[in-house]
Amino acid sequence: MVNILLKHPEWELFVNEKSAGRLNFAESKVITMLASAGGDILDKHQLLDNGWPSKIVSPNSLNVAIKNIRGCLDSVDCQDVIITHPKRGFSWNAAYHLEHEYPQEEQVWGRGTLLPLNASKPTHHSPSLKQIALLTLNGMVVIYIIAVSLFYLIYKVELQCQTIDDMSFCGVGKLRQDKITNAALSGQKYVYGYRFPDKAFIYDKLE
Amino acid sequence: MINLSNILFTASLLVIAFSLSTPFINGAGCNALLHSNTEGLGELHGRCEQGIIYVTVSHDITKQTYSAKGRLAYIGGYYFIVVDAREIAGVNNTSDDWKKGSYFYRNIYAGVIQYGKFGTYLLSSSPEPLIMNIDIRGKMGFISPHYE
Repeated sequence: MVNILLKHPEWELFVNEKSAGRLNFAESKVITMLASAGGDILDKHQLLDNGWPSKIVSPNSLNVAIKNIRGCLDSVDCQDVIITHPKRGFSWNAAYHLEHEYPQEEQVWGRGTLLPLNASKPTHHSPSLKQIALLTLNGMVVIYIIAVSLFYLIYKVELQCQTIDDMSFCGVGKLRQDKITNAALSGQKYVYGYRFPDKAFIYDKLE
Repeated sequence: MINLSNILFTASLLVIAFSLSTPFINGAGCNALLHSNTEGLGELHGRCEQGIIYVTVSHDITKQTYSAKGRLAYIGGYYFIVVDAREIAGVNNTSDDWKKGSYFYRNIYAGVIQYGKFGTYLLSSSPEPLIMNIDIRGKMGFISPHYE
């Protein structure tokens, strides 16, 4: 059995490591379909539908494609690979075997490994765009949370309230009890603090 | 693949971030006029609109005028002001040492406002503990229980 190699994505044919020429997209589809039919006769409509998907072409296009494929193979003394069945179609000569070779980046199990055309592509476990977006969002939110938490931690306001003789004194900073004159107090709630700019301790009635 | 736990984790983070932003969100609803006349500080005039607070202090002794603009965060009486622009007129000495020591050259102010029958007081904790009697007419946020 003679092996014919079809290299993707340039669709170049090789026989015994000798280049037989390049095919176009339609020709590569036609040769692949014929080879995978295993000697069965395929009619023109099947080959036209496969070689020119979603396009309306004349039956002559198929004849031209077959002629080009044969021309390539003839150039390396590879004849009768595609057999014509008048008024019925074409078939693949079982004496030949077509293999496919894909570029390195599409292979996962080693250099030079051949991957059948109908084989499923190896799955890559790289993160999807959605995962990357979610990770980025999470990262930004975490940074925001840390920044805002630090802000509150640094600039936290500690309102201290202390009760002296049933009177509540609230303020920021240390309460100076020695500065409070009980005799003058008449309210229930007071605020205290330090005056600007001399920082003298003062308090005033709130309620 | 994004699974449910990933989505729940992100949702939890967003809820935490939203909770932490509450004072800033609430502060964006401010609409108030502020006035204070404190011995030693001078006359303070301020206004807050949609989270932006403008304050001008006319010092009664030095005759200098301090103006500042910042963003207000406010919730439950607690406030934070992040200053993004300031101007001090009439100051001759603007050396780095003076700026470092001046109360008016700080970027962040924090404290708590105490409302009472006999007045409203602003208790500042940052940059230093201070007390100031202040008149607030209007609301300091979307949720402002002492709004008159």
